[in-house]
Amino acid sequence: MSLKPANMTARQLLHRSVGNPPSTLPDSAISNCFPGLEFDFRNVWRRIFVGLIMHEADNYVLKAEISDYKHLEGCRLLRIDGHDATTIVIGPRQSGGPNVELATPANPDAAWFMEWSNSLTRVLHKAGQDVECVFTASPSEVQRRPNYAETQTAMLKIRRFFEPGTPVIARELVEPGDLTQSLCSPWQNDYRECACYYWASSRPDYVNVAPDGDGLSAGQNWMQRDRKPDTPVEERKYLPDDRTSDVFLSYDDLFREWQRVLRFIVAGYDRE
Amino acid sequence: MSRAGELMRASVPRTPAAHLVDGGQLFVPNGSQLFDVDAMLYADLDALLDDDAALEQRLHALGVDAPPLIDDAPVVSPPLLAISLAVAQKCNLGCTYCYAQQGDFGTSPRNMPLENAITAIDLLPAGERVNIAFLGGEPLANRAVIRAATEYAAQRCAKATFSITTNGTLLTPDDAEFFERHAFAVTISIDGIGDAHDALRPTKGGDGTFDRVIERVAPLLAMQRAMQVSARVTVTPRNLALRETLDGLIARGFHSVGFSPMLASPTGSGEMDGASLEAMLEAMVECGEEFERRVIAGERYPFANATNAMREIHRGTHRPYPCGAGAGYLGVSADGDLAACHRFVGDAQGAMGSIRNGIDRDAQNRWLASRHVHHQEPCRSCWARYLCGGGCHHEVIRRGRTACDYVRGWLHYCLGAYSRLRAQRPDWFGNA
Repeated sequence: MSLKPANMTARQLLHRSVGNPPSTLPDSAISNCFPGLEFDFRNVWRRIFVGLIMHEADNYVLKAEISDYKHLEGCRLLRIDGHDATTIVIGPRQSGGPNVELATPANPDAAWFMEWSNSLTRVLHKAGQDVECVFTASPSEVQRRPNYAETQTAMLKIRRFFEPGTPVIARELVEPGDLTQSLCSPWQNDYRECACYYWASSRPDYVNVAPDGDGLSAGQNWMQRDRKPDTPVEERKYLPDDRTSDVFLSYDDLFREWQRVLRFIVAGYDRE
Repeated sequence: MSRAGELMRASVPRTPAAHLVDGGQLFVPNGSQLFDVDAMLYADLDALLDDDAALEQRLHALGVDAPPLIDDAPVVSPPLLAISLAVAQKCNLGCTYCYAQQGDFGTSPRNMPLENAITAIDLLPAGERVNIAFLGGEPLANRAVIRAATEYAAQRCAKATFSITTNGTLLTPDDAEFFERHAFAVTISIDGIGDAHDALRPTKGGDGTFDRVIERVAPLLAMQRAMQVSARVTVTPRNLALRETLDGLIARGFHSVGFSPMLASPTGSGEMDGASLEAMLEAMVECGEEFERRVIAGERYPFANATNAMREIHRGTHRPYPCGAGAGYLGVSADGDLAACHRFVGDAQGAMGSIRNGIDRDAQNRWLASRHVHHQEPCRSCWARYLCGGGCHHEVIRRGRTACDYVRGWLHYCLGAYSRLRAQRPDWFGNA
């Protein structure tokens, strides 16, 4: 069966841009959003309590938006509506050793914050209601265990997560710019660090791949300096990343000249 | 069965979501999208046309289920970008079907004072593309105001365009120069060749006017460069020889020729009924087929109904109203009252304020809310609703929707013609 757009609106409405395959679109990409390239999902939790801004990945109060909560700034949230927001980290100090509390000088309580989406699951249905929240009594740089002795209590209202009757994240939960404020910066450290091809599904970093005749492959690795379409196959052999090699882009290249060394790819190749 | 009868039968709405044409085309009203489909898919869709849920699923699977491009929300307080000035509510002709009741709209004959024309023009935004149309009655019965108002508007609004609809009997060579200088779109009301025209458009004394009109229009036809001189034919049961009229007027040099059926006249005289609309469709298709032949042969054949339909189908025009009446376009009476359009002059149903007190936004917004095609019956269930927009407000309010079979039959024919022309003369549609 065939269906072919005939007039302009049919062509426009059915058009799928060649340049933007589904794997690059936020709603269909298989990629990291924690932090990520399209958005950083963790930011949806920053405003979950009315009047406070929390760290997106910590139980730390960044800022009070209303003066009544000023005294909570810098404190740590230990319990929400009777549920622990932190836990004690337990494990072996050495291979085969006994499980012990893993305290360190920087973390004397061996405590760790439990990621928001899990620790808030049990209270999200109370959106619009006040719930009892237990904080450290004073600002705390270090993590504290759930039964930490010096605490203070505040009644905090939980914000709703979705716009009513829709799967849309509630407007009051994220301000414009919130979801994209902590993205990876591909042209800086993160991509160089992620030479493990972490992004491979939606942003392949080894492309135009063809058999090289020796049972291996030849192609263009985004980290390689020489990525011209006419580079001979033998010079396009796959090479494992080597930060000391001149073959690959360096941190310096990316910091100083990302806009020159990482160009737009059109029809498979770098373009000026 | 006549060709027109077949078209009317084939274009009966089965679902508001889609329409199938001539074994090879799928028309999706949402966005006026047109697709070529093969025989297998056509048969498949044909079997689903009476099952809305299954059809919806199938369209979704085909990827042609874009979100609705027209919602229920009416246009609200739109900017005014076009006005018509009834500069003369009087006429020297006595056409029996005239919506303006021989020019005076049922009141005493009057001219629009220049002051009213200027106050009306001042309602238009100076920096925008605006259009000022001179109508009547017979507008040239008040030539001085046309001239002065045009000069004023050209100075005030740099991007003003002008149009006039006239019976042609009062035109002078001097008018030709003036209209050419201001690039007027001049529409001549002319209902046929010779006797056919004379029978419908006599003077009040009963004399024919065809020869006089042609004589008076000749200088304009010769001079038109910036100006465009078109013919508009009002079709009644008495002048159905459209092909003869079309060819006769094109041969005389008109820039384009268009036909409109007479659907609502104040006295009922000349109104088209079902049988005459079918006869008209038959004649329109005859003209359309000649249009196709000429376009394929690379010849100019300015049959306005066909060229407009091809353009609208090509663009995928989709609209919730039939025209800009009561929205960006208002009619102004000689006395300075605003109306939904030139046909509603002096009619309380289309009253929209006055040039002195401004647009009555409450009345306008009530109009726009009630006239939205989603609130019209039986339009909501018709596949052609966004191409047609619900039909001329004036005709619908006066007489109801009496021409739907004709409109759909014509659009159905045009969808097929579009497909044929696009296959044979894709260049005719430009590069878009």
